[in-house]
Amino acid sequence: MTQKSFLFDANRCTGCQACEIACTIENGLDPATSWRSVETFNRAHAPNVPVFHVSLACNHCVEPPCMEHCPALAYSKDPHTGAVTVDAAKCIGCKYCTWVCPYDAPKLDASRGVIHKCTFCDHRLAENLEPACVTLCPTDALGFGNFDSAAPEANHLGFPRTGLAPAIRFEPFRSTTGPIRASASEHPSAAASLLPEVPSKIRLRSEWTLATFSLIAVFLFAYACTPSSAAPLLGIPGLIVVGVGLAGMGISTLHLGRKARAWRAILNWRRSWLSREVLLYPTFLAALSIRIFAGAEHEVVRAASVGLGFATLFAIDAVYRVPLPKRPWFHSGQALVSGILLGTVAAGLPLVAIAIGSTQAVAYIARKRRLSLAKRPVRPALSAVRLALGLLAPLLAWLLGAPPVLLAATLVLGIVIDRCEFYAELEIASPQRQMHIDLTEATAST
Amino acid sequence: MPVFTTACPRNCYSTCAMKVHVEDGRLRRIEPHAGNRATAEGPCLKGLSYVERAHSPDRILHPMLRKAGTGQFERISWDEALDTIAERLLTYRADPGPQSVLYYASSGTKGLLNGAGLDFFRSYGGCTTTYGDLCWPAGLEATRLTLGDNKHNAPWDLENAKLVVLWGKNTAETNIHQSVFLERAIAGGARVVVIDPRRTQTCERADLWIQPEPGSDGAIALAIANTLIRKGHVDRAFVARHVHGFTEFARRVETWTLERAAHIAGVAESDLATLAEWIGTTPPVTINAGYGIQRYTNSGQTMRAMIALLAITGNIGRPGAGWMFANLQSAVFDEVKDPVAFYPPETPDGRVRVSISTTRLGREMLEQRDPPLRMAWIERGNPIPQNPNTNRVLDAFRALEFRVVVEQFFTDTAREADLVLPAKTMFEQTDVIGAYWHPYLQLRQKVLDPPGEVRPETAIYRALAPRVGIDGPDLASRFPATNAEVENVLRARLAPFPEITLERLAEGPVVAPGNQDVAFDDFVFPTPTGKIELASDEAAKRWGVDTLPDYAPPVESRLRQATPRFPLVLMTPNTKNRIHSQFNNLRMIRRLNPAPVADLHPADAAERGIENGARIRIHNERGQLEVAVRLDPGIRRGCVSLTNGWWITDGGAVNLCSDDRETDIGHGAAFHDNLVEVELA
Repeated sequence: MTQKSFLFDANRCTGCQACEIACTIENGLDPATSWRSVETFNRAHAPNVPVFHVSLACNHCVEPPCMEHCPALAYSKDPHTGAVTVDAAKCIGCKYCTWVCPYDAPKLDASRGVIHKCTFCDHRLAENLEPACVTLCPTDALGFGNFDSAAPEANHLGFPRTGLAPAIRFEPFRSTTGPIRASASEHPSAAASLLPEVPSKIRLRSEWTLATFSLIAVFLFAYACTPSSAAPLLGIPGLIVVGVGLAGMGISTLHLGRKARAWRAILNWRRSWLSREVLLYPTFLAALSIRIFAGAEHEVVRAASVGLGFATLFAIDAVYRVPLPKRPWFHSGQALVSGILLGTVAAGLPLVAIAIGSTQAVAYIARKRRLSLAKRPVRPALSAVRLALGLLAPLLAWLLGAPPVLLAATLVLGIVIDRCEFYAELEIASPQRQMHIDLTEATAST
Repeated sequence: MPVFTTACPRNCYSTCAMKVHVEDGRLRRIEPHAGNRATAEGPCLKGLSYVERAHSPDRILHPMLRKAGTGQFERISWDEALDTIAERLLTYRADPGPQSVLYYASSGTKGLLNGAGLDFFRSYGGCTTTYGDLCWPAGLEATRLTLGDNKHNAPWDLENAKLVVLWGKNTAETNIHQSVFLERAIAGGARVVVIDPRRTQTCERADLWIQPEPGSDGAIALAIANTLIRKGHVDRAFVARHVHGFTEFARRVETWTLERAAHIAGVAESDLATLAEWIGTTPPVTINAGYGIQRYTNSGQTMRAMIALLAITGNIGRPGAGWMFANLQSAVFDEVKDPVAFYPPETPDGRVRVSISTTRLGREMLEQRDPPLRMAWIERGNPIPQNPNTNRVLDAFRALEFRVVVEQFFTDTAREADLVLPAKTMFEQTDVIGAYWHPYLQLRQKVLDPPGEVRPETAIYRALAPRVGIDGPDLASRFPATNAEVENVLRARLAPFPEITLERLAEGPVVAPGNQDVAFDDFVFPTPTGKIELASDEAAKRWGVDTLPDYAPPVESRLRQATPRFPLVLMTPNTKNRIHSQFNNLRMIRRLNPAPVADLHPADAAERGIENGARIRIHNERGQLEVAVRLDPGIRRGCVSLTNGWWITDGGAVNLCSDDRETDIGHGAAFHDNLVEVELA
């Protein structure tokens, strides 16, 4: 296995974006699309901090997360060049690779509903030519060569640090302060407020189907935790539960660019939590259905349904954990935590439920505090509602002996708010985000 | 896939060589051409975007006639179009006379065949045309008056410099390829000074960045000169041998202390002292002036003062040293070189009336008498948004009876036409082009057949000629229409240079004969005294300015009025994304640059209650425009900046606010004397 590498020199790059257009042309992309992107550090012109650019396409990582986590096994890595490519005929358009790639290399081809990305210009490599972006960089800032796997991981201000062995090397950047002069007419205080917000790669509005699916799984798990099918949760008929479960499956496929290929999502069960989730959920639903429709309660079936539900929720959380830069094992918006909380209530274990609910509330408050420290929106009013509905109201309902429906309803609402907020707050790694983080740090220290 | 050598003919420093791959009548790929040392790494993003431009669905492919009284155009045949034009031309020739027709051509495409237009109209009986130039005459004339010729060291010589002063030049955006040599100079230990009111990308390369009030550069130059003289940094031997007027100049600058200049320019005196020290002690010094700083009403004198800094320190005629403004060493075909070529003729030929200053296009079109203007023919230009005072230009065009515009796209000017003729692109007719930064002659090669019914201008004139009674055996050489005719014409033009053939040019760029890689290394200065003229009698005689460089604040500036009615300077620089008003209509480019955004200092914004991203109205007594604002702590306070070249239809045509004053010398456009106010829209 040999591995090629991009080389980049920010001292030479003027941010002209010819590389982006070279990519567009060479790969016959829509004129308004490019696989390469020039990211600017300090676009806000904060004083005493340099302005520079980093031109990135795919870094064709030695350990590519896109390939590891692609549920449909659509990715492959060329043994001769290391080029990581995606097969449009295999891609299901789930966009999970866009979450797990910290360099934003995979791009959605909206017209075809599949991912496309930098190929290292493998067709040019086959002709002994360098990638078009490298050949056409007018200032020779982009280069191409062999990857030295022994060298330390590429490191540059504004470049995500990942441990994925990205095949890119940076020349040391010379400027540390930006241009120097005595006659500054700027006022530094203003600059911090001008740093542009970085849009999140995952948004609740676009991913509501996934949020809904995960909440349905939570509900199914709680239902499975009911001790006896004879006295189902809140008296909800089993037929409706199975119907909701099937609807969940349907909804989860809505976000796919290629719905007819949804079956491919299970292919990477060996490595991808997404595949495992896709396998586990219907198995869990099947076990639950057997329990509901078989009529007779059998311990093995019951244990299987609870166990599969548990595994499903664990897989769901693992799917979201992978793309997070700091991968928390525990947070209040997790499907599994919410599932166990509802499950213990359903199982008639009020004290355990109180303990879990309280822990979850503490974790929720801690999460909000972290957000607040990071100067991100915290929505205190919504938080109050979340805590009131998710913990205090059910507690009160229990103490006062209110109808179980009321208790369940408040609990579920609290969980829904928490889960939706979790989606809205997801901050997954990207070059833009890294630049924002590094710039915030740099401006704070000047 | 066939691969051809060609070169980009835009009005741009770089004038890149490139190789184009053509397949099935389409451009497929553009690659670098190493034969041009200055642009060996390949063209910029605009050069690459030709792959879209040549085949753009928005191109005008047929003659288009305006439906009377509407903004709609309908396709007509070439015969109809030419008959319509001929009928108008014959009518106006009879009454009120041929000079009622304005022929206006601008800098849209370089090429030797561009002369066909004026040739046609001269044969037709005459016409009215313009003098001066929008771009660079003040600097060209200042250079000509001082050094005798507009030439500078080869681009690659920059790496020999130990100090590079980029004075109002944004290399990173407007001369991307110079960045390579700048980087090499830095790697070789050179210091870089950038003088610019904006924090451009080029500032990021600077060891010293000076952010002066726009239009104050002359004061800085005079004070630096005084400091150099007082500190003994004058190259006495060089001055004695090659400089005329040093004593008077030294006396002139005596009162120019750094303190005085720092006060005027609004910069730290210590920064000016550093600049003076570096110029005096870090040879070889290259000063590279941009074109923007010579578009003020005081610019000619400013540029003369700047050149003087190099003259008195002996930084001319040596590797790594010199004055970089324009390198016209490839202008070997021109009988009269710029800037003199665009002055009104001393003895008019009685046919072509050269009576309109390009700068004052709108006003003077309206003022023409005996005869007044009836018709205009526009080619290679988009004067409505690009010439000063757009509203007045628009009035003048609308006052005409008939307008013909030769264009590739429906620009603001084309949309005002009665008849639009489809223009070729650089890929559809062969021509030879020079450059003004590097010394190469290059072939702009025909690699595609014109699409639709597109005809090159020469072919249009050829077809029009018999309709207005122009005939003769030489039509094929005057207005070549076929490939063979074009080649014959070019061969004839190349005949004086036996070493340069079309075949050789088809292989790659050729350095112009007689080129000096180090300009003036023979120390021959073709001025009246044969020396570098710090004192120029010709300056006084021709332009009425002082024989010596001096400084006066620009006419419309905050340097002249303490509290002007319109208190902000509107800067209208160029962007890497366009050449003036070209390219932004392409999807590849528009993706990078979707809408006009003005830069404004946060403190100026706060005073006006303007927040980042808001819509603002930029206005003065001449016009207004409405754009989004980006608060920029890197721009000098009191300045608002919006790149020029946006079309009126984009909402960002900056010349709606500019005025039509000429520069002090050279008949240039001083449209950077431009005060405005901004407010929330």
